[in-house]
Amino acid sequence: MDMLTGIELGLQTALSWHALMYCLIGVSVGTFVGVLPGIGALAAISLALPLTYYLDPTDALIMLAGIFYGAQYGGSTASILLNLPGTATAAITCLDGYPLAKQGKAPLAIFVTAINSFVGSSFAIILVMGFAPLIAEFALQFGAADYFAVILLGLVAASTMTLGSPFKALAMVVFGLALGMVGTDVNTGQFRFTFGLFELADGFSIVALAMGLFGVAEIIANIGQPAGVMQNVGKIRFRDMLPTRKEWKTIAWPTLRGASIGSFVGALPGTGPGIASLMAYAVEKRISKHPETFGKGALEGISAPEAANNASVQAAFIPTLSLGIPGDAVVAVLMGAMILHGITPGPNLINEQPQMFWGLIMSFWVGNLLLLVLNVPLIGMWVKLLSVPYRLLYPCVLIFICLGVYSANNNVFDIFVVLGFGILGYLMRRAAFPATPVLLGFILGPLLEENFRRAMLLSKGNLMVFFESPISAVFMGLSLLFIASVFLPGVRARLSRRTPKILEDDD
Amino acid sequence: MSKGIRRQFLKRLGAMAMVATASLSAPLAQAADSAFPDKPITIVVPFPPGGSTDLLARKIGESLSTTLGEPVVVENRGGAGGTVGANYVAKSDPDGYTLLMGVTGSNAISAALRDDLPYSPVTDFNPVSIVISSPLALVVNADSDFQSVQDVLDYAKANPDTFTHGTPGVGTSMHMAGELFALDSGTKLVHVPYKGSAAALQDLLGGRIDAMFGDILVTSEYISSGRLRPLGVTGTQEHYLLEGVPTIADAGLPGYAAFSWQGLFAPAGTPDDVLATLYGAIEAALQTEDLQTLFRERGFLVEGMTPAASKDFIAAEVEKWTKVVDAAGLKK
Amino acid sequence: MTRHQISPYLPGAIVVAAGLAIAMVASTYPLGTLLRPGPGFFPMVVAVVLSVLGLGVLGETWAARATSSASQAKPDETAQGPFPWRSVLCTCVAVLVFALTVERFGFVPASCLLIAITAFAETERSWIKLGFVALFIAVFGSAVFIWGLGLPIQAFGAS
Repeated sequence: MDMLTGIELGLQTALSWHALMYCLIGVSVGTFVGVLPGIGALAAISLALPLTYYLDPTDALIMLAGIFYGAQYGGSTASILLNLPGTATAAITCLDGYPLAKQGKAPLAIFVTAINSFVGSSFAIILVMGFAPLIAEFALQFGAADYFAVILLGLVAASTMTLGSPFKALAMVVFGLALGMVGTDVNTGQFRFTFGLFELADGFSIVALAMGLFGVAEIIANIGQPAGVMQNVGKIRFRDMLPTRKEWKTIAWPTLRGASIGSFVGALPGTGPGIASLMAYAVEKRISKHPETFGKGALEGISAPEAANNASVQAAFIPTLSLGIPGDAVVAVLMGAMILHGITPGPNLINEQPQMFWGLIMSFWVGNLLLLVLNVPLIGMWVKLLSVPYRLLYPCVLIFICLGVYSANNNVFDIFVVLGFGILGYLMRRAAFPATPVLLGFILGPLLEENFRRAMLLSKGNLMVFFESPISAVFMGLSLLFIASVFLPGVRARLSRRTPKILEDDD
Repeated sequence: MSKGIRRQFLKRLGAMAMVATASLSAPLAQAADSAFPDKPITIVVPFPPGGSTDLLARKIGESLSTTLGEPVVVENRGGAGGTVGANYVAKSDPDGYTLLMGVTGSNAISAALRDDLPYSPVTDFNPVSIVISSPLALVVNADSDFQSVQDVLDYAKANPDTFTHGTPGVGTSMHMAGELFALDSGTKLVHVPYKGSAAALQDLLGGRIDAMFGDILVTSEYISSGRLRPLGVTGTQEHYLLEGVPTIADAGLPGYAAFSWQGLFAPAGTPDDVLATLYGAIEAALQTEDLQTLFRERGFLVEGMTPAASKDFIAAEVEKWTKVVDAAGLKK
Repeated sequence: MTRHQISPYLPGAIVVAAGLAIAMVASTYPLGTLLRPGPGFFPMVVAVVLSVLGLGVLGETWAARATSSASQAKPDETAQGPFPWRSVLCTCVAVLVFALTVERFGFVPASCLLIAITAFAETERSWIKLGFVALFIAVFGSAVFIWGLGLPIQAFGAS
């Protein structure tokens, strides 16, 4: 089937009144749970899934997918306003989003994330439409050694992205790696660092970790402080949200770069939006002429990762729909939903279920448009939240966090975990240890170890395997380049600083 | 955690009380129990929603609730390959109101694999019924040189520690099927564990691992599209989704059989008549059009074992996998 | 040495200690080799690197104090004010109480307890306003989490 017929068929499906309705329900629920701290897309989809057992499969998928990408829109709101990221992606948006909110630019920041989410998604949807099978075949070429090289690049990027002491940032990345080791060793099934606690067999939940290190730590830091209100928010005019011409220019390229990086990472099964936004952020910071503004409210610092994470979410459908291999945990649940409806995703899906494939893709457009229409007017309302006094807002946030982490496995244990990380996060904050690298180490570490060991297992212990595969070799090279680009400017700067000194000495 | 201890204590107390009532006034206890069920029943699914266990539990729950006249609620308590949810039910009150949708991993293999399992699949549960079973398919990449089970056997015998098979993780039924294959054939295979079957499938499609013992339904999609080649099924007879594919037993490894299965379990100490009531409802459920369609589509084989037969089956399964785990030196 | 002189080194020391602790636990798992790593290999590498980075943090602190002691005697920690024992304690107790009561007594009582306990962290509190917060949580929270998302807890009573 050619693309035009596909688009036509897809539009017919996606624009039917029931598909529109379920799409609207999906994106609204997604935005809503995305804003609520602690309840991510995964929890929301898992919980909504049983409700769809009796829907038409295409409608069910349209709705569930809507929750998925809708949550990405909503997720940035809580991060920007309250420094409450529920996912690794949102934690990166926090880096510059929260400083922007503190400067009173919350409406602008949220508007930019909404627009960029839309651009990022659209970019990836076009890729899905035109090249899904092609990209999927390419992704199939990635073996353990190649994954290791990509993750290594992510780790190198993660190590260089925060402000302040490099030792502290590096120590926190490594600390994150350590936290990621808790749980069952994939290769042997051995329990590591579980200390006899059966609840730790699957490791710490990423939601509990992020909510603790950021959310609970933020609450401890602010509770009991005399400052009652964060900001006196006046009337929010549409004008406050719109970027100036100069700001549009600032975000244009980072957005496109973010979208490309996101699409690439998203199309690789098993990586996910967290890695996509991290890489996008790191790249922007590396090539920016003003890297020192990152972490203090740089617009590029929210636009690139936001575009990347939304692109990756849409691109994650590429391997799922064309090969039946889910791109990340959330898409895996969506795939479960398809199987429940008697549709087994595999290489035949596009040909056997064209109505569903194209209907779903066209619903992505519809859904993203709906999200834009839905979210921009809501900005004013979200920002108003800031005028609620702390001491009334925080108990509510604390309850949401507790229930959010509880909902993942219906287990009280996770509430204890979130509290533990909250206290730890607060102590780290007092000692000026950044929290974001912990989260990045935590997501990257297990992937790094797993793929290294698998590469060794499959190659019978040949280290050269990382340089023999062209894909792996390219990424290893990129990692080296990245490291060089970090150290070389420093060396150059030190040299140039020293030169005048020497001259002074000569005087 | 104190809740667990309290529950355990209550369970013991309950068991003592039951012995007491049984010896003193057996007819009276019968009368009281015949009211079962008089409140909603919870089926714990030890996995997140969306999997086949979840679906089975929900469909069966629906049918149970029409038969028994009380609502049946499905609760997902995932974690550690199903053992967190199984542990939760093992420590629940044995009154028939908290049940487990248990699987091969949570209710047999884990006992063989782990010393530190906080419950015993054999003594902590009274099975209601092993509801369904499903064999696996030994598949290779369509471009691979292996054309038959015999090819694999010959190659593995000639090249120990070379033939790689991917699994969704240590202690899964796919892993055990592979270890049993090695044990029965006296070969040494390389086990390549992944996090979930999708990742293993990706490497199989990419030609980086030799084979996989995979879910019949999932692999059948790749078989029909010509990307994977089935060499054999692990069951005792041909499977209707893979017609013409021999059993591994027939294709060169006599006596070989491995299944994954799912069943409904009650905590140990649940009264016999409650089990009987529940089993009756399961029998009725298996007759419904809805479930029969589901089983056909998913490639499940209907078992519907009685509580007594299920108990013997579990004991046999634990013994079988203990032997395999010990032979492979996997005990944790 | 006074407390003032030791406390700036505490974070670095804790990182080193954490690294050593991880190494100790990791040594109980099979190490394997670089080419055939066992479950203990990666943890051991991580532990060693963490300890080394902890030493780096210590060195950095030492260097920073050496340069700043001349110009500015005050260690940076006092700038943040005293440790807020009250906030930390109240948050801990509130969350613990919530976790222990939500399955036993229900969502609404547990939330009310949490709201009441966190209130003690504040210097002043208005019980009337907090009452409204509790009411909001009771209605909104029950609607979203129990009815909407179907969590296996009750608004009132044990689950």
